[in-house]
Amino acid sequence: MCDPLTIAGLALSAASTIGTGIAQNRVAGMNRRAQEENVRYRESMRRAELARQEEQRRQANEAWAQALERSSEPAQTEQLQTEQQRLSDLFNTRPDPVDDQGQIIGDVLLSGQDSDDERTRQAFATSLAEEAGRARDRIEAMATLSAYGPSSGGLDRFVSQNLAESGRDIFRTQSFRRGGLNALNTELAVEPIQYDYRSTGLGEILGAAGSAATFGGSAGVGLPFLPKGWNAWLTQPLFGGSSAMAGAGFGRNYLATPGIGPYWY
Amino acid sequence: MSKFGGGSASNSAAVAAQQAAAAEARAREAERKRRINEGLGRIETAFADFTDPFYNTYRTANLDYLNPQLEDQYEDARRELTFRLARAGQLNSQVAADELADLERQYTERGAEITNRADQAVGALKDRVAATRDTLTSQLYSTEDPETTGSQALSRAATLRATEPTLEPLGQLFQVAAIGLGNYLRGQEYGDLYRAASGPSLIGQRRESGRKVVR
Repeated sequence: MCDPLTIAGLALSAASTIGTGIAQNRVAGMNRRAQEENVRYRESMRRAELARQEEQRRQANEAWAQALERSSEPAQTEQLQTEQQRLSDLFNTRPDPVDDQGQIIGDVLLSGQDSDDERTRQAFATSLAEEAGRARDRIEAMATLSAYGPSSGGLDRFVSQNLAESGRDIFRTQSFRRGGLNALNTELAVEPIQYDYRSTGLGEILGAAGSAATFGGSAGVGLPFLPKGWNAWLTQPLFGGSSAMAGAGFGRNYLATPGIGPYWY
Repeated sequence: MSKFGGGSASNSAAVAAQQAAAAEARAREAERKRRINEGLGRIETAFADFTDPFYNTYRTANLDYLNPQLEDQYEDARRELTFRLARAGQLNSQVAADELADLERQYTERGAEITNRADQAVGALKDRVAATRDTLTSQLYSTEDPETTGSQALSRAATLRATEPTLEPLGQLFQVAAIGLGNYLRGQEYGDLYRAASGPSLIGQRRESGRKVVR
């Protein structure tokens, strides 16, 4: 069993096993690297999208904060006062019919009314001033009331427009965030490249040759395609006597080589 | 590949397709953002001139329609008041002073109310403009087509610019008092006293129950 053929067979088998193992390890390494590369790719995609999402979120928050600031209590108070003043100026277009000295201004008096008599003029001036004051009060009240809601720059419209404006910005960022997430999902669906081991056949050939040689050597029959002389030499034990372990049916004895022991099997 | 064997990618075609799909999805999203931003810009441009000058013009157009009615009715009311006071002989009485002042107050108040009405019409137009912009924006997000949205925005903006004031007549604006017989007699009496240029002044006496409001 310590014949050259058996040793050569064992060496071939070992070479086949080792060579195949190395090649398979190399493929496993390729798969591991592909997996790591995929993880890095997914992570970079995730980080890039996270940055975009964060920027959109910041813009949305900014739009919302601006709307809140524009609609804050001080801002609303200021808008109300501004609108009241604007409406007051807009409504009070008629000059007072009586000046500071109590004189009637312009041709307010009706045709036929005596404008020469001082007492008459005074009576008219008093009544006109009184009613003009009442009108002014009512107009101011109307300006105040309108400034709260229905006027073109009224508080109600002012707040609604502010919120609508920020709502448009927020909706835009929301739409972009949704679209970005959809794209990210597609990016994350990219799988790592999978490498499968493909043998060249050399390992199998060497393995088969090794097995055949081991069998031929240990059985003492050599290899059938070799000349008999070669086989005799190849199957001659390198150590011990002439006896060698041989397979049944080949006409050889089964005595173990002294000092080597049967555990060579 | 070593002499014994090596790795060959078994899913390279699938991975390539996935990578292509991912790149395409990202590119499509970038393109979608670009189209939406472009569409929003076009809407903004189309509605850029809906500013204070435009609304002031619209308010003025409303007032140009309403104010002549106010002036006409005011002149009619003055004329009617003159006749009634003249018929009662009280053109220069306290009643006349009170009625004239009342008419002037009505004139001032109605003028302000008309201006308020015109301003509220401006507010309603602002609401329509905002609603139209919102509709166009929603359509843009659905279609992602800036060209169509842009042309629609121009068309809608043109329609809004051509909005005419609501042409509704104002109805009766002034109430002129009917100067009754009681006032007439009192006016006569006061007139006599006044003409005598002595005694207590006629002025300062307030109108009495003979006043009746014609609606």
